[in-house]
Amino acid sequence: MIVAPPKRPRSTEENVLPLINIVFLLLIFFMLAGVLAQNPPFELTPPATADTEQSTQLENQVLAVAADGRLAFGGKPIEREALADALAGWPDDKPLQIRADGGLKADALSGLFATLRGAGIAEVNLLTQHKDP
Amino acid sequence: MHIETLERRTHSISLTPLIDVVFILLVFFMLATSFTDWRPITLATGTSEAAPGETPPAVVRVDADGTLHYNGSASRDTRSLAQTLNAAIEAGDVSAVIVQPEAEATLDVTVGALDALAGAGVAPMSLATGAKADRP
Repeated sequence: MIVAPPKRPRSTEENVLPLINIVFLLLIFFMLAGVLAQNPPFELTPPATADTEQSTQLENQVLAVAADGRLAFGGKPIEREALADALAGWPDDKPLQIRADGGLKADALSGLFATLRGAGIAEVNLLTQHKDP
Repeated sequence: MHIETLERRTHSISLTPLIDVVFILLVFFMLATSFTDWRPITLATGTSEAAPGETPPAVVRVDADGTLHYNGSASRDTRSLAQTLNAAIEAGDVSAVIVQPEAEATLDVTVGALDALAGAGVAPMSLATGAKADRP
């Protein structure tokens, strides 16, 4: 009768190697595929759209607008008076991304647009979230 | 004299600290990244001025409750309104469609109207902002 020689017990490090491989892959995936979220210091619920087909990812510098008109630029709260200075170097050909709360009133939005126009921003991208009707 | 022979080290670097760090990085990136699918609506901050003599744009007013007003008639049926607007654009009666929210209309309502009209094929379309004086 042939008896197989007893297997040399594998070290624990050898056992975790496949696990490490997967973890490394996941790490690289999350680093490359995701965008570091800059959450504004207030709650906001963006408006929902159903028919807008275009899709985009968040840029590094996003202007967030709360329902009561508070502003945050790039994740930090900012006063409306300081907005023109913060946007002074904004390139002309790039629209500014705006994350506005769905409860924002139209006159507050038009006031904000007037400020942005004064700061030299001609075009904005109003960010909405897709919801199937 | 005792000469130490160069002993070849058989064990490699311990992997455990490396795995710890990689796990921490992984958890950080998992929590900090966002995969939200954003849909942008491009708007001009200034109202584009039509050259004099051109055909005037159609103005659709949006109420606070989402009712659309066009040409004196109120409706909530965006599809039929979009057909009316498209017919007017094709006939050359209007150059573009301007959506004008009332001061109390929220962004949800305004974006809903923009989205519904755009989805029904109305183009070109823009959002009126700031110009309160010429509200009919």
